[in-house]
Amino acid sequence: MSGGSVTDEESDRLLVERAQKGDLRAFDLLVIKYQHRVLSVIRRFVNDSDEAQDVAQESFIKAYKALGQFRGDSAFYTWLFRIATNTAKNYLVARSRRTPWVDIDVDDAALQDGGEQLQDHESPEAAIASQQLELVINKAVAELPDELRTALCLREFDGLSYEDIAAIMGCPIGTIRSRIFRGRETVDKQVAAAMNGEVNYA
Amino acid sequence: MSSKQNTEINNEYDELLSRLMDGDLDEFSTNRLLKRLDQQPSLRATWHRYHLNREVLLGTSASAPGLSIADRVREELIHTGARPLRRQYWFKVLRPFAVAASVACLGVAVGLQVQQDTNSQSATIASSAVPTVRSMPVMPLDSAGLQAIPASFGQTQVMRSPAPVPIEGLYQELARQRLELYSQQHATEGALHTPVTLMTGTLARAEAESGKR
Repeated sequence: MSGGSVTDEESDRLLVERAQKGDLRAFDLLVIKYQHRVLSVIRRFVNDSDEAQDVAQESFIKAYKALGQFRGDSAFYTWLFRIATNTAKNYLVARSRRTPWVDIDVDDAALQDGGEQLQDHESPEAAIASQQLELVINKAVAELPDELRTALCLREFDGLSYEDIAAIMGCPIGTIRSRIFRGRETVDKQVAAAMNGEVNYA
Repeated sequence: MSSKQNTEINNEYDELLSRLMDGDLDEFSTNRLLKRLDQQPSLRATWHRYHLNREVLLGTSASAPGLSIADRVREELIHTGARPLRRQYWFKVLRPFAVAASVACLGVAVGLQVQQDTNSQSATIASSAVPTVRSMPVMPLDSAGLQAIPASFGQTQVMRSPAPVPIEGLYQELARQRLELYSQQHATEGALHTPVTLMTGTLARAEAESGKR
């Protein structure tokens, strides 16, 4: 599935416009949204987990300060990942380390499955937690009622708009909107419980 | 407010988060949601989990449930008071006018420079080609029509002849031409009044015979 659908870009545009006016809450939502993907890109340059998080933090702060220069010519995540890549390279130069011999394309890095590579660098505990979280999420989605699961999967995996999903399922848009939300809510409850240690992964 | 009402309100904003994820939220609802974030911090956590779930489902990045980069960034930005450097919209609006004004100024400057160069060049040529002499208030006569030319004090421009010839040379040339003319007239008159000689008679006869043939 694509990393940036049209609706995703619309969501970013709404938040970016507000962040450009100095609304820190809007930028905070963007950081929360992209922190995992940005960290995945940076971890290809910086092996150490703590250092990678520092570089990611610096990247986001640079992005916030430079947000006024973002004109929307490209997708926000492409612009953001370019900043992250440059920050990581500069960090390596400053530390007099060798940059990776592979030239990582920003778009590829954003779209391809970076989970496996990242897991190589994680601690065993983090890797186990990550795997357990995946189990919970997949199980929760599989246990959703058909209409909720179908609507959610068409949105998440196929990136379809509400209008397209409504046309496919033969329902009003309001119904699709509600089904997708209820599907997310059901999965989220189980994930929240798992993260709070209330659920036994086994 | 009862807990049931609280739950309903929270659910309402959770749904707004879900719609924002899908780009289905209008401007007004987005503003409502952002304002609500201050009163209901749990919305940040919900937003985080929604995206975490999506990342895991799509496999676009590793799932790190305890990731706190956003918290650190937020604290840093609040602490430093950093703000995005705003683009100067007024400059964007005025830029075309500024360019046009610059071009116009450049054109005027170049025009003035060219005009100045031309004036100085022509002045140089004039000063070198047309000398100015101080003259007395005399009333010279036009040699052809004897028409009076008004005289004036000050500088009078006098056209220089292309090839100045000294006056003495002119008199000599005139005398030479007159001498040639007198010589030719003398030779002609002499030839007309001189009797036919042997030589001239012989030649005349020879010519007459060749004409008959």
